[in-house]
Amino acid sequence: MKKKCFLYEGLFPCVELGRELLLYSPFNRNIALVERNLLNSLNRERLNKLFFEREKATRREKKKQITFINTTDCLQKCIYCFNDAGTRRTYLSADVAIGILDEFLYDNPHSVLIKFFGGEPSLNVRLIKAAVHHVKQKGITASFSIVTGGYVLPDTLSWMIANDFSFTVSMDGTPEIQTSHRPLIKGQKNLLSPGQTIDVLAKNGAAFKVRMTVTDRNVYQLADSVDYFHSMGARVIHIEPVNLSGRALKTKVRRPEPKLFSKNLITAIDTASKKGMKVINSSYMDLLESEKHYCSSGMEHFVVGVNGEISLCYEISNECDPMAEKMIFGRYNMDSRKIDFFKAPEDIRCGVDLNLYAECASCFAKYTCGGGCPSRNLADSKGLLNPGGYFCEITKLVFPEILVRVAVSANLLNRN
Amino acid sequence: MGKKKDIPAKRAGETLEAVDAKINFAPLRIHLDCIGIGVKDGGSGERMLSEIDCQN
Repeated sequence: MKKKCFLYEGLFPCVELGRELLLYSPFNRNIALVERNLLNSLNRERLNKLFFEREKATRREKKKQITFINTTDCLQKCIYCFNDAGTRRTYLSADVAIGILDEFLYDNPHSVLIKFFGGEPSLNVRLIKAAVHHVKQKGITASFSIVTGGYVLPDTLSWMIANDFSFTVSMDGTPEIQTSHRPLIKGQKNLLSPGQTIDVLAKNGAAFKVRMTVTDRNVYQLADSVDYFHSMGARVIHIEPVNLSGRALKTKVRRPEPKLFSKNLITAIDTASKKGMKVINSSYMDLLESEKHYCSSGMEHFVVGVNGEISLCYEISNECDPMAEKMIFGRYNMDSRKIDFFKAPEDIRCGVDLNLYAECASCFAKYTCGGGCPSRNLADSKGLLNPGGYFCEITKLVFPEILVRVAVSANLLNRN
Repeated sequence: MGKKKDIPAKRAGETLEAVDAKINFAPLRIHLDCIGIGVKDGGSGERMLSEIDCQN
């Protein structure tokens, strides 16, 4: 599976295919199959020109984005939950959320994205409804999204669909895997199950994806899971290996070896393509939006913890977390009704500039992976400036396979 | 997967335009859908794809 790759001219990912090279330009989003001797001759300048000056890539306008951790309460007790949800029952107050929204929206932005996260965020429907109502009352164009375990009250789900939410339903596969990974601890008769929720979303034409977390328990079932979710009506599956933080450190959950995960991910992608589905994975999801930073969080894109903490990372919103000093940069003050900032604006940024990573200097995938998630890098390699690790290995295995598949789809390469 | 197609070698005296013609370009975006790939800003008009996170 491993292909020989390099970074052509310090900019373009390049896969070596014998006499030819497969290049990808993140500038105009073209791939090209080029004879190696053409590239090494006088035509290099011409090729660069072609790569830079063909159809200009249009960049999506970055929206302001705020994520509320609605609650640490949950109906499930997932074995890898980074928020340790389901053991504590802290709820973010709707008043705090509205106060923070007022601060966040001070400049009446053109558009904003508001996300609801947990625990199970739908348990704090009061906050959700208050925030939606507040933003609409201000006349700001907003889009809303929620990450749910899928155990939702039918009325709440209908209300969110009517308000044009997009949905991420966390589900790891068949019922056996669900029970193993995401056991239900507080079932209620009147709740929809995750399968029923997906069914309602599909039948109503709602924008949704399934978010599948992979451990060594379900890594061999990725393609079968794509089939399974397809039969339920899902068309987009986001597959990621488990991140070893929070409860995962206590339950000793194991993530699959990078090679094993990558091989099964590719099989899942090929299965999805035959069914007209899409698989998302962080190793390539930024292909069209190359960045020098993995994460865009900062003053215009942050997370609100259950106690009004203002954080760069949804995984780190508790001031007891070892990474809190790095990620939490403010807290809402109920007396002044303002955010007290702990850092200067120029220091409020999650990602490290890719060019500071010595290990990434000549990596072919650097502008796609952006150096990876800093907190995961830290967990993996014990150093913020040392990104090489688990996720890095997966990107290096999967990304070239995607380029080759595109080349086949575009008839640049033969299928066999 | 990934066997090369035959591309004729460059002949002496060829113009740059003729060389360009030998370079097979393809826009990535339109082929991602065909191969089962979801990315941010995939251009498919699916709102949620531009709002991807990595959370568990």
